[in-house]
Amino acid sequence: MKKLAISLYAAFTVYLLIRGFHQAIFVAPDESTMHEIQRIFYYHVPSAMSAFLFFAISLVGSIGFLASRRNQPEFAQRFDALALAGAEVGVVFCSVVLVTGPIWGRRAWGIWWTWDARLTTTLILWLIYVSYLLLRRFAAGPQVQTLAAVLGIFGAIDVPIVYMANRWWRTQHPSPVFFGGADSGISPKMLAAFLWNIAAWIAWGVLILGFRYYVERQSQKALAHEAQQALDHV
Amino acid sequence: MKSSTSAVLIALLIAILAAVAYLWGSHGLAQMDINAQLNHKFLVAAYVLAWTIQSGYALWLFLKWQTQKRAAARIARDRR
Repeated sequence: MKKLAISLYAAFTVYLLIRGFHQAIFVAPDESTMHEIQRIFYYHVPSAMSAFLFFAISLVGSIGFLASRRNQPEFAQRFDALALAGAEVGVVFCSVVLVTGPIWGRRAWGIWWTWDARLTTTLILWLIYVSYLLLRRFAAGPQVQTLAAVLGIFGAIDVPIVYMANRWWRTQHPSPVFFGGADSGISPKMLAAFLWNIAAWIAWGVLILGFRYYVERQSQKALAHEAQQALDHV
Repeated sequence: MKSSTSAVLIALLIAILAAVAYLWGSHGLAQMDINAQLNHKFLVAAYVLAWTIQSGYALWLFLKWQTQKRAAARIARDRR
């Protein structure tokens, strides 16, 4: 039953991804000044929003781990797996943002990169979570999970700064399309393509987050089993 | 999963993405002016790279899961 539900969800996600791609490339109208290159927007912005969502999930996992590590170690391990899965999936989406953005910038601005507030804070966000993953991968010892949780919380503080960067400061990055005041917004056909892609990439992200969480939990159980066996031999 | 199977899966993913990049990237270029051609190629590059990152991660996760399953089966066999 569980396998069937996961298969159905995966099939639905594939449908959403195909529909989102079709809407972005074949249905949404050409933008009047940027023309075809504007269609990068339909992957770039949903990826950024998904990255924020998964970093928020990582934050919940990190806080949950710190709150429950002494009293409920089993729950703490679940929260830790959630924090790791959220950070990893968030880094994947943030990488997409940092790759698609400069490609658009090269055609729209004539440069690949500029050190404006939005771009720089996004790069810092990516670097913080990459260091989180490196800490998880290469550090050893009983405090690694705690240190990673603290770093995860610090990293999440950058998310609202990235979001507000082009509201607080004058940036080369375009002004906000949504919730950006009277001049913001897009045409209904473009909005439909955008919403399909938001739904598709969040569904995809949740699917791989669930898979990553499962793999991490299995890994934790295997390690706990090994530790128990070692204790039994003593 | 054997390492040869992993290599085949990785090669297959690269081949699919390269084929999509080539076929979509060269589609309809003859009817476009130089600006539109560049826009088209940059768009295709962005979409293909986005898919490369996402599907590459999904494949890495799948291979990690397979390795984990193999290790768990080995431990269970040794215990018996």
